Amino acid sequence: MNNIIQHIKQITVAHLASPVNTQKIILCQKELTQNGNAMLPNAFLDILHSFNAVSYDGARIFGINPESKVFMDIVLANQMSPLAGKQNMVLLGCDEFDYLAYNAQTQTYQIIDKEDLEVLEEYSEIEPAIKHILKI
Amino acid sequence: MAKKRIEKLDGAFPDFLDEEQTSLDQIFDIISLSFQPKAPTSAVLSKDDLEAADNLYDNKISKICDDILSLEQNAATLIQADIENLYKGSFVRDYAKRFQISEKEAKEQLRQDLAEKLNALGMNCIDKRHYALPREIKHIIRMDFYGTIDKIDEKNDGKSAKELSALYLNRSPQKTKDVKLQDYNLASSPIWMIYRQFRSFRLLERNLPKLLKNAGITPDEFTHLNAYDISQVLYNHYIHKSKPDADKSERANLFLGAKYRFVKTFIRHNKEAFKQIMNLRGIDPRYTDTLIKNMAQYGITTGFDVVEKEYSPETLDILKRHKLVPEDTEIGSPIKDAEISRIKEAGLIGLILARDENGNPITGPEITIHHKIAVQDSGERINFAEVNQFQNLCIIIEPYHFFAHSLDRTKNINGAECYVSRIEIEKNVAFYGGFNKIFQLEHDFGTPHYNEYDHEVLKQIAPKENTDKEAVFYWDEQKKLSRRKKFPRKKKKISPKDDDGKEKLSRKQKKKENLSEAIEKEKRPHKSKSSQAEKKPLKDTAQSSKTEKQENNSAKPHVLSKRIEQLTRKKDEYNKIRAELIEKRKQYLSLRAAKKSAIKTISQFEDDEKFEKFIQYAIRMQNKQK
Repeated sequence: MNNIIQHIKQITVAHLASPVNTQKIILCQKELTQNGNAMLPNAFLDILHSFNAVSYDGARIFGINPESKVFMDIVLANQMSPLAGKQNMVLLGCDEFDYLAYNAQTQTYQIIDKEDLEVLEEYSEIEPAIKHILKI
Repeated sequence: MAKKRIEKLDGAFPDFLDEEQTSLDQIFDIISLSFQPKAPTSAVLSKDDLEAADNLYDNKISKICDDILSLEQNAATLIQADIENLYKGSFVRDYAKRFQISEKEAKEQLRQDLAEKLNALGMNCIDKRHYALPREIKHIIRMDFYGTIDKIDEKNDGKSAKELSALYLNRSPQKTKDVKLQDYNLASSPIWMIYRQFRSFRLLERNLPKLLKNAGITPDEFTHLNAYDISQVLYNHYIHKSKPDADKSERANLFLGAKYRFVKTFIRHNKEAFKQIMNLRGIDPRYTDTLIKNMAQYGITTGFDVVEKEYSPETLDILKRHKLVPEDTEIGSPIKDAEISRIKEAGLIGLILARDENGNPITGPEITIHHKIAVQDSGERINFAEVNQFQNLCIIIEPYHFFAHSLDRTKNINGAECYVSRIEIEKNVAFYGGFNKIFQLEHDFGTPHYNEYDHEVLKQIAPKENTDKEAVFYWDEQKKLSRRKKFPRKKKKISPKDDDGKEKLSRKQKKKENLSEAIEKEKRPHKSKSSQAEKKPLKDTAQSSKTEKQENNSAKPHVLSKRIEQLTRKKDEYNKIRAELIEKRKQYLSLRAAKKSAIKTISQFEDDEKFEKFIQYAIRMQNKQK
């Protein structure tokens, strides 16, 4: 986990939002559940404690109500996506073509095609999934 | 633009005739014209002229620019709030409760409002028909866009939907020992024919036979390879060329992706205009300079550090202590690129970062690349490479990219979500920096040169899983047929064995006999006339066809000609009503446009004095130009 955090910190100096506090995380989890989506996985929360949202070369990792409009709010992103209300799924990021989502049922991180929602890649760890979406 | 609107307003809304001189668009047009580089004049400007120009800038232009920017920012903030409300469950629920409608209706209404607002600001929401696209082709489109190629087999972690074919997995260099490179007929592979639509892949084509031979794929097998097989062949070769730690990496650099090529080409042609727009948006010039440098050099728009141009006394000492700069470096000497990368590697980049008045590192807006035609819409195109063509790409500043996707609507077709509605950005817009045209740049990249796709080859690629009847597949010739040909009407067969059938048949025969008798009767008096007409010499072919028609008409039974007359009369009436309706709609639209523009103008200039100044300034500028 530390590897990916260090890696991201090195490459995206200007596009990292400051870490998020626990209270905001709880509110976000509550809102996601109310909207019918899955809760954020623990591994993703660890990343949020280091930086709340990443934006790099057209790819994004969503954050919780980030202070800048450069970043995208995770609740809003989920509501706007075709995965809104899918009980076992929660969107964590995206690039020009794909979503990065967490499937709570299979406990995997999935790279999903934006068009037909086909699962293209599946990772058991968050690190390779983030690397895939940020292309780092 | 302003002129067009006046043409509409003239007849429809006389109170707003003066808008030609005062409209915001007109003022913006004048300002943007003033930014255009002018031909150098032989006359030398005096000091007074320069001072007057400076004063004009300080007192007028900079204020106008500030006003334009604040209007733009206000509009963006309002749209952002509307989008957030649309997708916020609690807001939609409250809205539905307040207006006593269902949540679905409330959401649709909010969506409609948002679409109207975006439309007024120049972002038009359009409904698009769904075209299914096989994932193999999407895979090629992605590779062309990023210029990279992913490892397909033996992934370090996880599973993949991209599968290599059995032919590829059973490859063996033994099989291709005696194969000559000339034996590979690249045109025989349907999937390579799609690959080669993309210029970047076409340039790799020369090496392909050698790569195939080395990989142990025979010319016959090559014909049946899928897109992933070919990309794996390319990956195996290029991973060792592009990355030193090839074993770890799962992504090889193939070529400069369409995304980066587009940015480089754009900035080469529009550097100055882009700089002016960024300045107008109030972005720190140091950020803009670094951005332009990175755009021109690497084709990237984010992920770079904005550093100071020269060494300051505080930083130079520390850097010398760490031996990151040469000992003879002096205060004020320029920071070189090689030194920047050394300092970054040492983790001391913070020392030379350019900072604002509050000491924070300078940042700029997120700039991304937008596909005007989404990948999923590309099935309607003959050439898949068009998706990544420069005309289809647009550099866009956030949050406008977010706005551009705010009305994307999906529909569940055959268990898969497909986009049916999205916002369209004008064809030639290459940079979108705001709703106002002043923040946009148009560039004509010319007609792309590519070979038309061979439909015969395309037919060989069968659809994989998507068996949706509603979706129109690009390979399906049926889509070109008319509805009548597609769904021929089934005729009811009447069997003479049934009693009912017998009765129906006899009734039909009687009717037929009656009708033929009537026709005979009608024909008799006209016969002589037609024979006379035959004898007359015809002046020209047009006339002959006319007389033929008349003959045919006269030959028709009286009943039928009466019916035709009735129908023509009805058609004329219908056309008349239709023309009236079109005219009324035009009037309505122009009135609506006038009303909207009036509201916009009034709300923008609540301060009378300011309004008056704007008008005077605009008129003066116009007179000067004349």
